[in-house]
Order: sequence, then C-alpha cells, then structure tokens
Amino acid sequence: MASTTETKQKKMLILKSADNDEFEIEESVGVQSETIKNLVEDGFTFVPLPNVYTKALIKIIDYLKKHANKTDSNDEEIKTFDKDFVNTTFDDLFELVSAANYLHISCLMNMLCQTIADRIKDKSPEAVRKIFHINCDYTPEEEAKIRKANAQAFEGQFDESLD
Amino acid sequence: MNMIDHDKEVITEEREIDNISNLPTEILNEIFKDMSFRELAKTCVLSKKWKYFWAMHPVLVLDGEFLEEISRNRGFIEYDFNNTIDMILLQHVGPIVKFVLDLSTTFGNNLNLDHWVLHMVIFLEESANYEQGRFITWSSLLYICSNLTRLVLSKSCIGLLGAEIIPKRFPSKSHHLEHVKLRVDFGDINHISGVLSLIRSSPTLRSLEIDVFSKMYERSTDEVIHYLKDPNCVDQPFEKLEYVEVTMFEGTPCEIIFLKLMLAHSPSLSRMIIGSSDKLDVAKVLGFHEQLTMFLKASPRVELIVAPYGPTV
Repeated sequence: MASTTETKQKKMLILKSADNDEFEIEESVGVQSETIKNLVEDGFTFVPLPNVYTKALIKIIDYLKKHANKTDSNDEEIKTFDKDFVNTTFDDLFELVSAANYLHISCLMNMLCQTIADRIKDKSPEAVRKIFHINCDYTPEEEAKIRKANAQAFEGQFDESLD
Repeated sequence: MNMIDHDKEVITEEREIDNISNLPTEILNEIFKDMSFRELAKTCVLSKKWKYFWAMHPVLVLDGEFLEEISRNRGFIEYDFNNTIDMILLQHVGPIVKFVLDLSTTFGNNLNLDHWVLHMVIFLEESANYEQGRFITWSSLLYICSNLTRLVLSKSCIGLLGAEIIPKRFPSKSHHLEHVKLRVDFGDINHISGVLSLIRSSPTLRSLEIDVFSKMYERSTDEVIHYLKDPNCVDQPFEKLEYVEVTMFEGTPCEIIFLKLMLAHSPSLSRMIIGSSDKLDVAKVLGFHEQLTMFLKASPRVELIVAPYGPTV
C-alpha cells in the first residue's frame, strides 16, 4: 500500500537555459507559463529555452513556485515576495521582462512593466538614456530643435537619478 | 561598459548599444501603456530610433496632469487647447487602442471633439462608408467604440455631442467595448437615451462607471422618467455586464429607475457600487440601499454597496 502513494509522483519537467543549465520543476509550476504549457500539452517534458539565461531563469522559477502555491492566507507573503522580486537593477528588470515575455507569463509581465514604468517616470531624458544604455545620435542642434518642437514635454522639473 | 555577467559577454555587447530599443515593440508598448502623454512625448529626444516611438504608440493618455501643465505654462486659451490636441493627433500614426482625454481642466464648449473623434476614425481605418465632415453624434461615437475596448469620457463630453434622434440601437454594434466610463446628466433625455443605446449596442460590455453630473437648477425630468418607465425601454439582457459603479449618486428618481433597469437586466452582475454625493446624509443612504436591495435582480448574486459620501468606496 505504501508504494502506491510513492508511485503517485508529481509530473516533472526539465527546463534548459540558454547557458545549458538544466532545472527540474513540477509541471504544475511550469504551466503558469503559456509557452511551457503549450509544449507540455504537446507531450514535451524537456523544454529548451534558448532565449532565457540561467540568472533570469532561476529568478523566474522562484517566482513561479511562489505563485503556484497561492492561497487566500499567503496573500501578504506573496506581495512581499513580489516587492523584493522587482527590487533590482534596471538591467536585471530588462532581462526578466524579455524572459517573461518569451515565456508568456502575463502576471509577471504586467508587474515588471509597471515597475519599469514607475521607475522611469519623471526622469530626465539624460537619465533615461543612461538607464537604457541609449546612444544619442542627434547633433546638439537637432536635439534642441526637437525639444523646442515638443516643448510641453520638456517643461518643469526632472529627476536626474539613475535608480 | 556595464557588464551584467561574465558568461553573457557576447549577448551583452550587442545589447549594450541600445538596451531598451532591442526590447521588442510589444514590450515597450506594455511599459509605456499607462504613461502620461508627457512621459511618452519625452522619448522622442532619446535617439533617432526613438523619434517616432510616441507617434506609433497605440495608447494616448492626455490626462489632467499633462493638460494642466500645458495650460499653466501657456496661459489658458481655448484655441491653444484645441490646437494642442489637434497637433498631437495629427502627428500620430497607426492605430490607437486607447485614447484618454481628460477635459476636467477646460471649460469652454468650443472643443473640437468632433474633430478629434474624426481623427481617431481615420486612424482606425475601419470604415469606408463613414461620411467625413459630419458632426459627431452618438452613432459616430459608437462607431469609434467598435474599435475600442475602453471608453472614458470625463466631464460632460456627451453634452457636447451633436443632438440627433437617438435610435434604440445604433446601426453598428461594438463587439470590443468592455469598459465604459461616462459622466451622465440624469435629467437630460439626450444623455440617458444615448447611454442606454450605447449599452444596448455593446454586447461585450463588462464594466460601466457613471459619474452623476448634477445640474445647478431645477427642471422637469418627466421626459426621462417616461422614457425609462416604458416597458420596452430595455428589451434585452445585458449579458456580460459584471460591474456597475456610480459616483456622486444623488438618489433622484431617474437614477433609481436607471439602476433598477440595470439590476433587472444584467444576469452576470456581481457588484454594484454606489458612492453618494455630499448632498445625502447617512439615513438617506441607508434608505436607498434598502430600496435597491428590494428590486428584482437578474443575477443570482449581486453584491450591492451604497456608500456615504467620502473617499472610500
């Protein structure tokens, strides 16, 4: 009798990152990703993710595990987890948002986009350029012309910080 | 150089040039989807790649903060307001899925609403039979809605719409419209019949938010009451409607009858939240709650909340 409960094992999946690291997770955790869900429905148990690097994948698996165990009672705990999750550098956020988009995890996608939006709001164009590593290819004259044409967007105070 | 990780050197090098521009447009659009127009417009100066990002972004949020800033910096002239909106819409290319225009900072009646709406119709490029140059009517408003999923008209834009004989249903149905937020004058037959036609013609409508617009002077509401009490006023269920919210509720007979119709014809309704105006004391609020609770409900479970005046609903 004891063996029947043991054989009733949870279905597992293997996710392989772009750096060739493999992670074993429960199927029920993985299917929160639409991309993984579609593969599982087609019978796959080994899922290569050529667009997701190990560092991001570890964080995302953490997120999926946490959210798979969502109940009415741990609402606060998940909120705290989410808050910590997005409390990271912009570069990490961009990495994660690309991964979440590829994996089609809409709740994570929304949370990351909202975080990025909140954090770039009110920033000066100079700060936004640095944050996004944008190379400004306007000449100073061209830039002045554009600012003048869109004056209402450049009036008032901006936040110059990069965090 | 800002390396994220050593073993990611190859990919990082490529991405370092223009990190966010390498994010697909769908992600960028997500990030910027609820940003104020000011934030969006700022991106044009980032680099040449970004010059037209705002102009192709499908969401335009011309919120109060932005419009107030313009009027503060230029001194308020109606012409400027019209002109600003015209310029923004003229420069925009591609489809707009959400357009928010907050008119709470303006006062005049000479707004180019028709004009802007025409722009949107042109952007949406859906109809070949739309007659250009016609002033905006309820039907053309609905026509625009056929492409939108969310319609928010702050202030009493409806009053600015041209008058017309309002049909029971508009010729075209909106199969996308899910959220409607309007300010409604319950004493105005044009408002009420327009709102009801809009609801009747929007089979996918899920949430309806109404801000009651109060007129300062007394006038007869017989025409509205007669219209609402007609047994044929609503002859179909509002199948998808799940949520109704009314703010600045005054408890006039027209409002009550309107809510009665909503309750009686919305089989999916799960919440109706009514926030009272400051004119109602707690005893009256409780009275209205009781009255609404007694009405016939098409939905087996409706949470009905009538809250007294205040910030919490």
